[in-house]
Amino acid sequence: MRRLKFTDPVVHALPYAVRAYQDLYRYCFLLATWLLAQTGEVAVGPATINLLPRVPLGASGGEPIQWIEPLRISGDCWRLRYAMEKHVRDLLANGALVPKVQPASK
Amino acid sequence: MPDIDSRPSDIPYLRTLRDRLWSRKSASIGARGEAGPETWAKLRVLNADLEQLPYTLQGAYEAVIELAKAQETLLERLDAEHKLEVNTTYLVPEYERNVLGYRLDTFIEISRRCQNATTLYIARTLDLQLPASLRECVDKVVRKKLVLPDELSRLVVDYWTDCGKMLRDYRDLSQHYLLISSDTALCVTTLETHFFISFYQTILRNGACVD
Repeated sequence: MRRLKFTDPVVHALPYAVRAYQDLYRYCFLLATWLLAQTGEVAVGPATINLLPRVPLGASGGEPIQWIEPLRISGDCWRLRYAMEKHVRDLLANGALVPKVQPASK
Repeated sequence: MPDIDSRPSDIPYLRTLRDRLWSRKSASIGARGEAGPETWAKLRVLNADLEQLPYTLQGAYEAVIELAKAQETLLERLDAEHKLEVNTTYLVPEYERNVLGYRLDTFIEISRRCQNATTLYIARTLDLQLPASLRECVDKVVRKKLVLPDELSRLVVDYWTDCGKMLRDYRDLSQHYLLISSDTALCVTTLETHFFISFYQTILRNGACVD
């Protein structure tokens, strides 16, 4: 018979979900960029994948992210939406982090 | 110049990649002029492969927002009923717990689909036969039964190690063993003059492991 062991019972669902989404988005973003370069129509700058830092989950497995404040009583969903949009904008607009996609040299 | 007006689930490079793959692959399938049933069938499969990733990535984003909204709605109701007091823990009744749990389940399920959908893009771009599951794909890469270009291999394995596996574990737990949001409580504390309400909709860490 299989048994379940419960070792660390508390992870906050929303911060975990936000973090998991961020990591998933980052992975898809880098993957799409790298694969696009393989089509031969564009070139990606060297060591692209090293440019976005990996931030492993904390010991709790889902620690809150700094920019997610606890949701207050009302009207705060916009904070989350804003933070998510900012995350995407930072990825796209920050030249230091975003791979340089250029026309491939022939 | 990247499109900075994107929605949070949008990846401009993914849109471009999808267009490129559609153009190239549909041309190689022979979708020019008169197309027979076999060609249409292949095109349908191609389209199915390419639409899965953007669909599920947006779905994951929408699910997070829905979870936040559901929490907020409950908080507003409890506040209106004057049930929130400082330094107390409110155990969320089962009906409301379930409403929140469905949102979390949706997020985990669709995110898992999104993980798997990335293998479709890798396979289509590099013309490879890959397992449908990202877990199997990573497993083969780690055991050197599947060889991918170094950068790609590192990207996939790093994602899986850092957080992808945990998401998969939660999904397997919910699929086969238990409710991952079974313990849902609301703790009200004060910090300076502000009310801070932390929502302890707990999920069991992959710590809930199976012997």
